[in-house]
Amino acid sequence: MRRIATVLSAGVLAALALPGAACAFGPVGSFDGSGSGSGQFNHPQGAAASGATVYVADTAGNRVPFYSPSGTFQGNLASPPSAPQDVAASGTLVVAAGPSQVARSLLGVPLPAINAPGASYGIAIASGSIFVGDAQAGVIHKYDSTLGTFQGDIGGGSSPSRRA
Amino acid sequence: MTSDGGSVYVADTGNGRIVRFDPAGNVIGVWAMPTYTIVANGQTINGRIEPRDVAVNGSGRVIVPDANTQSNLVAVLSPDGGLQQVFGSPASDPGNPCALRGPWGVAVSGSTLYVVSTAENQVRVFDDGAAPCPTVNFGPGGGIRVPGGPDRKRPKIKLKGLPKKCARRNFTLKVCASDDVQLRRFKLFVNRRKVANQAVNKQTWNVRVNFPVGRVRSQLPRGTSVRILIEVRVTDTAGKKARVKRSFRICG
Repeated sequence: MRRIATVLSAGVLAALALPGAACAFGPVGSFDGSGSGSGQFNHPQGAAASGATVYVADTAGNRVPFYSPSGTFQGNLASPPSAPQDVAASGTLVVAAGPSQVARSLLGVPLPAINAPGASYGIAIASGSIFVGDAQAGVIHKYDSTLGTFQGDIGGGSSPSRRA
Repeated sequence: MTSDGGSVYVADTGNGRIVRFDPAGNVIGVWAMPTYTIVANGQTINGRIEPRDVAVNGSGRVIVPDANTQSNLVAVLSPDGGLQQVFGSPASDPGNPCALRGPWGVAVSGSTLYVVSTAENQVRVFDDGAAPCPTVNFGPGGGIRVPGGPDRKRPKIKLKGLPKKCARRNFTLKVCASDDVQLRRFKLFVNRRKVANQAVNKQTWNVRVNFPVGRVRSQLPRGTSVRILIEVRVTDTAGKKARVKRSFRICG
């Protein structure tokens, strides 16, 4: 038996509503392909969708191209880090790049990079913070999304993950 | 790794799970990954979805691409951990419009799902309003299921902390599930009246219920007692149900 994790108060709980019935995904298309031309990919690994823009971490292409939702190439992120692994966008655009720094930009203007330790393979933005998955240490490093200052670590299990 | 704006979902590849954190770093959800059997070309491959990335849509569905290059699958899980859809192609499957090669990244915008098909240098676009992907061909005898699939036994639960004789003080009832159970719903009945009906979105889960004995006792005449019937019902992610009934007395 495990330790107790949740506390309820008898008589005061209401049933939690579950989301509506699920649909199933079906194919509607694809965009770009192998190559080094504008908007083409070379071993892409991560993507993020924000509003009407889709960003792709094109790892071996060393760039972060972005597209319209229908797949029209719109441009490349200025000053991308080498070997981008993952990307997240929520106002600020952030790019994790393995052992390289975490790149940040706002409205296309590069911001000071974050010198995250370890190997940054996953990234997300939530509640004003940037969360960087360090696959080497098996922890999540947390930074202020505006200032880029370190706010602490999350996790730290014994089994480091690729996108921890 | 992704967020829904208020929390962060992490693809914990090595542990075979998706973990959801609140911004303070507290775990608020865990999704165990499905296991599968692929039978193709005279070989049988038993594996588990190794989450390479994760995306979450507006209704809380968790979308996971498999890092394992022999499966080429994307799994879609419900908020409570059930397997809703799997698409891709673990083997050569000509004509399958949803066949993928190394799906390593996913992103969601509205009803649209973007899958980075790394080995074919493409971003594949899916929509939950389109004609669904065909059923994945796992080969003869193959298939996929979530942990605690249809062949598992009923979940085992125990109630701890009930007073052995008369309850005269507030106490805490502990509902404990066995380690291998992934529960998705918990119901509590007191004197046949439902007082809790809660979705559970955690792999490791137990619950503690505070019983305000003192409040009841203060209304009882001295020397009298009242019998309280407790019933706990749980459902695991495979739909298996279990219930436990106990009673105790509150003495005035």
